[in-house]
Amino acid sequence: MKIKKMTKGFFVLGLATVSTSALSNERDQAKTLYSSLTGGTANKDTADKYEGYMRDKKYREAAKEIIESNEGFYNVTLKNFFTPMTNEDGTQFAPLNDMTALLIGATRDDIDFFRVFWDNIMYQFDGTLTGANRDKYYLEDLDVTVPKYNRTKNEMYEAAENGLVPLGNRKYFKQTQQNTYTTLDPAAIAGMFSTRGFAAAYYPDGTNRAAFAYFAQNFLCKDMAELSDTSIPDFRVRRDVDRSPGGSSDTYKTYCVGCHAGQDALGGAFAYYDYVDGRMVYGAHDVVIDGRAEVVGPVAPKINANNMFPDGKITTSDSWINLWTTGQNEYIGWGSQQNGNGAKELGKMLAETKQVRTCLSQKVFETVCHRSPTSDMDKSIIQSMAKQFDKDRNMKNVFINAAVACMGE
Amino acid sequence: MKTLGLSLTMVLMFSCIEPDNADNIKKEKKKGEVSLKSAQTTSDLAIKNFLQVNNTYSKLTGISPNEGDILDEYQAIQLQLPSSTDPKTLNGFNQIASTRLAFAYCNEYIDANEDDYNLSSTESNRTELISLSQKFVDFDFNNNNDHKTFLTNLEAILSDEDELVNDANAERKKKKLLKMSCAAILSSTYVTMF
Repeated sequence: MKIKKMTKGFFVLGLATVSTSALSNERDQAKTLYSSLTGGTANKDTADKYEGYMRDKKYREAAKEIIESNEGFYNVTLKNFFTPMTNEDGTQFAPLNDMTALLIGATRDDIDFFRVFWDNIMYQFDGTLTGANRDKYYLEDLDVTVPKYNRTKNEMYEAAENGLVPLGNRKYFKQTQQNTYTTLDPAAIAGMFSTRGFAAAYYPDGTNRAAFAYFAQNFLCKDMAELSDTSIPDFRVRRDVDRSPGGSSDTYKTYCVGCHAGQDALGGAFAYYDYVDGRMVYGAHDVVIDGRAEVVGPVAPKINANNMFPDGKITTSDSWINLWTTGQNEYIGWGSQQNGNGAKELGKMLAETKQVRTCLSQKVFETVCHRSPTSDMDKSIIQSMAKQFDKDRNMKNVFINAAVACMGE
Repeated sequence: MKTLGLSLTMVLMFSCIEPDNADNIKKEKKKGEVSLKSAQTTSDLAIKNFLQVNNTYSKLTGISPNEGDILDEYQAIQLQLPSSTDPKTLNGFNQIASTRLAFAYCNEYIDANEDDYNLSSTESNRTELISLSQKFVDFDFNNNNDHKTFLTNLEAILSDEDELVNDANAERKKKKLLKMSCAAILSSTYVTMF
């Protein structure tokens, strides 16, 4: 029976072949491959279809066909995988939005996945213009109508999701550029960091520290506490951080500075962003001064609003410095650029960071194989996946490699 | 439909189609714990979360999630369906919600495919159940004892004489019982677990 079986990892990346016990047969392999990629259940017809692939050892061909012939991979597996990254609660109970769409689309189209951290790309639904104001698209084959992209609403993506539009459909779900959609300011464009979905999750209120903190959690698999390094100089720690919390400077020196020294230095990249009244704001911020409406910027006023320590860093630009390239966080394998300006340059640095490969490979492994990598063998599989990911930069292959590795023999 | 759903839930709870497997699962994991090598290679169990359950039911039945009352039912119980694939989070509410959603799909599915069944006779019950089951799950009723037991339980559902379903109309009764059998398959761990 399916749930009783032992599995064998069979993993071929041209780099590593790993095998374990051997109690599954080809039919079980086919069913496991199908369910791990689509989140569905293989019935008799499905098992019949893919058993032959297994017998012929055409594992990757089978995986690719399963992915492309079944909306489950894009609409279920990838939706489940990426949605928790688009909200602070990490919940899967969140609607599709432009950030999730970008991550799913970049996976579907086999593009360099790390472009999602900086490039001028996004994914939208497209069809025949319709509506009295020509403000909707009609997706004829699917008989679904979706509103046009709106910088202040998520309605295009929610309508498509409610209409069950298959995200594998390349006719209606397409890559496009962010210009004029997510923002009118080209300088703001930085992959997922400038999507409305990311802004809604990580730029409201606060001081935008959440942007990096949740990136670290979702794409480096590191909580801020894990990155804490009290040996880093604190010249970038902003003035809203109390240097004597509770009257004790020791607390700051032994605890607070560990995160803030590095985080605030990197977080400068997000200084121009804000999220107000349902839309992302960049560079020009509406404020009320002495009863008069004014536009200030480019730094979002909230960034320097609190002054707990006047000699602390006052943010005057979107410059960032990576102070974690040496010391205990050197192992992250950061991209080579150590400083820059804005989210786009930061995104390019993060796109070259090794830990992103390892983290995403581990998350995919856990999603597809339904277990945490506790054994040396599992860790070895993940390292091989990460190595391959670094080489081909193809997120879909990460899923295929994990599914093949965990389908048993 | 609600009465039938409740009846079905009770049939499932007392017919114990799947709980036997829970012991097997536990035993197997305990076996794994004593052997490091085995522990390293045993695939962990996982349950399907709300999105996976809904999509699986739709895919297997060929019924759209937006058909009939399904969407309303799904939206009403979405938060009661499993939110995670971690089997440790599985609870009774999850199982009942899965059954309710399964029944919503099966209600549409049997209505749409009633020509496949001889509603005026019970002679073909076993053949029809085998056909129905294999549309959803890759059962091996010839060689797998668990599957044989499962089929026997399904036959018990289809020959139920409970007055909740027996309203003196044989065709209507069989149709209701087919819907319950269908829901029993879909809400079983053969479908709701990986």
